[in-house]
Amino acid sequence: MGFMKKFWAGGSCLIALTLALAFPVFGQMLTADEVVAKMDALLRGETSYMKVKMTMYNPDWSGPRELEMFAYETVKDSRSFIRITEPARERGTGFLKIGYNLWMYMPAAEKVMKIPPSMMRDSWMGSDFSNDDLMHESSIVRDYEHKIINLADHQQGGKVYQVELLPKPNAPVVWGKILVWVWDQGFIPLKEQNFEESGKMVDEMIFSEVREMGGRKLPSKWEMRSMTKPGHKTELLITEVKFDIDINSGIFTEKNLKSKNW
Amino acid sequence: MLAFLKIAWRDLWRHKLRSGLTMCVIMFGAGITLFYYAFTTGAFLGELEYLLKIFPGYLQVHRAGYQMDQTIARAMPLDPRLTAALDRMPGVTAYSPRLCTGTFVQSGGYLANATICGVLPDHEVKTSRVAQTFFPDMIKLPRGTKTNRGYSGKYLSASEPKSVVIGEVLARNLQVKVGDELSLTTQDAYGSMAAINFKISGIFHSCSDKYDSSMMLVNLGALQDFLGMSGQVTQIAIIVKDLNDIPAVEKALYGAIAEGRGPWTVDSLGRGLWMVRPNKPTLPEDSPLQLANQEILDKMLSRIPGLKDFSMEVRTDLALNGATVATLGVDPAREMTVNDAWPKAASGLTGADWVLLDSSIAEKSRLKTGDLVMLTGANYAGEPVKLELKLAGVVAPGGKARAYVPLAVLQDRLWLGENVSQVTIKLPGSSESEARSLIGSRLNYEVVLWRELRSNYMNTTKTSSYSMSFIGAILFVIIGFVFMLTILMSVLERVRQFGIMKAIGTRPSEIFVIILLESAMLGLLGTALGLMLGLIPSLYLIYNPINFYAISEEAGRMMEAQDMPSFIYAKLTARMLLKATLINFCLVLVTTIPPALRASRTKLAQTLRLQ
Repeated sequence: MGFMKKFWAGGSCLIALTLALAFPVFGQMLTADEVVAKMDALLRGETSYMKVKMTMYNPDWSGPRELEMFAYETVKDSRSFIRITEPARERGTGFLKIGYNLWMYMPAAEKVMKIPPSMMRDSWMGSDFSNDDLMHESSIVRDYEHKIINLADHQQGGKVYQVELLPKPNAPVVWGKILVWVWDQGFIPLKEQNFEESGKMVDEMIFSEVREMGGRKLPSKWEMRSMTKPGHKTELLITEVKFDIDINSGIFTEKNLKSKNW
Repeated sequence: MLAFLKIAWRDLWRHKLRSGLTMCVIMFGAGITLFYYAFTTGAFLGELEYLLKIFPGYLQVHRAGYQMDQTIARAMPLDPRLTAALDRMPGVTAYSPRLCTGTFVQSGGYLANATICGVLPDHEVKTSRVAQTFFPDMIKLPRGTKTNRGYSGKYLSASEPKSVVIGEVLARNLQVKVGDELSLTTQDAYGSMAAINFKISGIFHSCSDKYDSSMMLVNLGALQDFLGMSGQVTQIAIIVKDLNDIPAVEKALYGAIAEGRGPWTVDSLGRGLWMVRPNKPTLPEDSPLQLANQEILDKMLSRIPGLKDFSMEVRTDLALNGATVATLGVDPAREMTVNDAWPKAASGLTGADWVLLDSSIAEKSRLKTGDLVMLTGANYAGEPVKLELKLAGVVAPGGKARAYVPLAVLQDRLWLGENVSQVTIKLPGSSESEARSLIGSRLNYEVVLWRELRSNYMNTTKTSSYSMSFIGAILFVIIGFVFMLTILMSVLERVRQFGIMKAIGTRPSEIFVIILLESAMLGLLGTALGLMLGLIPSLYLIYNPINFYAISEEAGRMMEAQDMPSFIYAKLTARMLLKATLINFCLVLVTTIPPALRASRTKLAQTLRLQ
């Protein structure tokens, strides 16, 4: 479950919100389902806009690489749009997702390309996320069984839920198991670990630098570490977020993908 | 002995017809044997030459590890010393440096997977038939044969950097023609997506389904610029004059690149032992991320001639009761082969919970075998790691490390994946400078021979060569039986003769020798004549190859589409003549033994009384 997936997961947000409204919580103890639903709801809005700086580390490179981008998303009809703004080499590269389809635009070739299934496992722009991470339609709320396996104190007060997520039978998921650590003060995720079916940890995401953004308290730094490739790391810094804004539907079009005015 | 020879000779002439028939059988056997060798060898070599000259070459030079992990991350700088050495290397007729990668290619709404290779046009055209398709005069065709090869447009030229030549099937799939533009999307040196447009200058129909449907060639410089890999190539394909030149060329290539100093530190530990550590220039020398992939390192080491043993290790500092302990993660079965200090008692260690400690540390901490040892440390990200292991034994102080733990445990706990931080190599019997160049050259480069380049093909030829050997074996058995029956008949006809010989005092062993001599004479003569007989079809096929296009247009095209020549030559060597002679002659002698034994056991009284 990568970062993009979180932005772009299907209609799970609605379900999560409905759940949260329909079953108001009394008392202190929450169920695992509620913890995950609240965390998921925090990271998403009905619609969203965000500016992100991505930094990639690879021990074979002479230094880290940076990408800057902005992204629009509407959860309801599962549409999203990403435009890379920096550096010059990648500037203007765009991605458009509508439902299960993903298109890419490369300004150097002035061509829109539909990303074929064989490229889904490839790295997204050299990062530790794959195109599949962007595309994946699974939801941590809907497609997994949740179980609280530990409850600990947080240094700054409040509790940290450690929740184990196991895929439901026939759910369209890649992972065999996910572990998340959620801080009950605002249901902020702290850490997430993804495991293969064999039980081997594949990657780990650390959330930090909680900040007030877009009217919510959110972790602004997301750090993805590969467990199979030592030293490979991708950092996301969210510099700006707006939730529940009106997004012109013209944004999610091939014409806009090819546009030079942005 | 001379008397026996005389008797044997006379025996042969006494029954001219019978001897003549036997000799004819032997002659036929020898002829068939020779032709069998000439034909199968010729077919194999012709097929191999055709296949390798289409594109891969007889051997290739890569950066070490590329053969296992064919990505541009394993490209190498095109070393001018290497090309200079290739220019004057005996046996090498052509070579072509290439930068190849997988790509998506798009035109209009059509999309296809392809391989793109940046090449130096002049070198490529001397190396691969794919490029030579644009110059039909460069490919010699046997007299009377034809080919389905063809092209349109023109070949690459250095003056048009944005031009591309593509296979005919690929062009058809994309619905493009010469002059059209193609968009390529691929991962660049950073793994980032990059796209570029090329204009089609030529379309080749090399007849090989594989290359016609997936190969694109562009100028090397253009692809290097596009991928951000200036001066880099992934392979140098090499054509040699003769298959027999390959070992010498391989050796010379390793020699030419031995001085290349790559991202490794190689230290001598004495007594033929060497310590190799990755030393990537992008990281500090002591970084815990100075790692090498275990599987690929294993393959590199397997190419070092004379390498006896090696042990891959992970190096880290752990702490025991506040004191730092230099620790190695090892596989006991491997480590004991390169580490004299390894205790004999610990040779069979298995499992994931053992630790060996320096005896002085064990004493100081009052630890006994079987005690629980708590070791602490940190992974490369600085996060604490705690290991709880059982003390399995002690090692003498002053060795490579003060503690040894299971390799897999350390890899797992330190998040190192399938990587190691060093390897100890045992390479006895070389001088220090020799060993250094043997190790250095194989860690930085690999020279991959055709067997490995086309391992798929090798597997199919292996099965087909098994079936050819099987056919050969059946052939020999049949020939052998015919020999035996013929000789047996000639013996049975003569029981009376052997009876009389025995009656006048010939010993059974002498009769045995006489019959063997008869066969030997017939065998020699028959084999000699047989070779001449076998030469006729062999020589004919050397000058007039079997032409599949003459059989049918369809058959010829099918051969070419599957990377096989549309014609088969025979090939003759002195070795084959020798082999055919030996096999046939031995077959004659061996099959003579049972009839000769029978003759030598002729029962005197019975055979003579019946008359």
